Amino acid sequence: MSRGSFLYALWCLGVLGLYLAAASQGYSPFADGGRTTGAARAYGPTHK
Amino acid sequence: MSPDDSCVRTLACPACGGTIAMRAAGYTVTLACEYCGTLIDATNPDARIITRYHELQAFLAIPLGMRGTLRGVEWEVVGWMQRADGWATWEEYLLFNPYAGYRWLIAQNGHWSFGTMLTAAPRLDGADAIVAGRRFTVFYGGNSARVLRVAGEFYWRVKIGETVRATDYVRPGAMLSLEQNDRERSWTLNEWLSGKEIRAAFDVPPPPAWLPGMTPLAHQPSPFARRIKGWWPIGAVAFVALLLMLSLFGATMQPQRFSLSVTPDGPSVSQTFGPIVLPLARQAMTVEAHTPGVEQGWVDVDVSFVNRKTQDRYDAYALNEHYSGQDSDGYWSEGDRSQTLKVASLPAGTYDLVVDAQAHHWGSSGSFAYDPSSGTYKSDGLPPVEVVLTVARGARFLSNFWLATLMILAPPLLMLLFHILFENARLAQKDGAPADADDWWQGMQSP
Repeated sequence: MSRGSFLYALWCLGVLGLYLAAASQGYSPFADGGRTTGAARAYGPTHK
Repeated sequence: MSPDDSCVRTLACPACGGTIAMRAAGYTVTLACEYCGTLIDATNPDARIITRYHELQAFLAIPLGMRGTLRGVEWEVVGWMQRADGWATWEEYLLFNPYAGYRWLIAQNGHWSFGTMLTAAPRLDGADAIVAGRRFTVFYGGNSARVLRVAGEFYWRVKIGETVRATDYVRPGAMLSLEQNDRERSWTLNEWLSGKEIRAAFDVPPPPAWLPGMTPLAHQPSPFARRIKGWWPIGAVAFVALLLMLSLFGATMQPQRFSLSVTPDGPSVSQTFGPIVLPLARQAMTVEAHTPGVEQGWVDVDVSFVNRKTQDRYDAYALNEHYSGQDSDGYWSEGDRSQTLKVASLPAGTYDLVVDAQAHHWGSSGSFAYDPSSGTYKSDGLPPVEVVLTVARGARFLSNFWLATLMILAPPLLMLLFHILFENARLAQKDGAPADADDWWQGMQSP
């Protein structure tokens, strides 16, 4: 295995480790959250 | 003369008197003095001067006489010449081994190739040439290569200014050069040498790494193609592992169901449900907000997990809406009566679910009155909308999955981008017909 392949394999392991850690902690940077009361919300049909 | 007879002999330079070693005595026809650069006829017993060349053989990357083992054979550098074709300048080192004969080391822009003269002409197939089953595509045609400078010994009478017509056929990692003049034509197969190989043989600096904006050699193999091919199995294994983890983690469990009803165009309804006990140190929660009765309107649903002990709040918001109608194209509908909210990383504890909901009807203000029997507001002609909340421990975040997939794919995709830039720069030098899909496909092949 070349050095580049080894480093890429290491990178993939790191990504999988991060995914595993996030899964075990129930974490996502894109989770819902933040109350939006008072914020601009779009209502109504968009059908023309 | 047999190779056994070959040995190093010396002769005195008739121009400067320096002692010159003739390393391939018996084969050498022309010899250049390594001190003053004078070109000498080695076949003449009096070592007649062919031409004086007063520039020194300066800045030779490999000194004449140096030995190095390349591809299993020990070679001695016996000659050097610099050539140019109007577009590029390169150097050619003549290597000699008494048993293996002559080979060439060609240096251009810090890259090295190992040249072997072919004893049989390659098979021509249209504009391509085929050697040992390997197809070479014509790349440069009709250039004139001229000798600029020369030092050392050669097996033919080298003259400064000597010119041949050159045509180069290329496949990544190798170049097939046809050189011809009025008397002869010769084919040489030049194989690109890796930095490690040439350094091990002759201790020269490794070739410069390619960067966007640089022009690669015509036969220089893309370093990125090799990486892409080496990396994709690793990426595929990582992706499969990711799919496995996606299926193993994130299942929801212990669902609890709560409901409340809100009157369209009525006031906001706030209600608290619970307790919801979260035993793990950190866990995600899934809330499915379902409003089956919403029609021509929308419902704002704000949910908060409130920790009974610390009063910490974790909020999320859903907008359920549904509209439909009839127009010249027929029936239409839009909106979603159901939303799934995922709240991340709630600490362990006992929580209340605080829900604020408000329903609206699209296009009418409605009129409503408080109904003490049900404790809710009723609107004339508009039935209350039921909000059903299903709260469960755990959540499967597809966003995490796609982010991890992107991170796994990013390095090979970056290599692919560099490979395209590299091949674009390499193929832009091609003479004649523009590069086609075959050229691009060949660029992915390893030497």
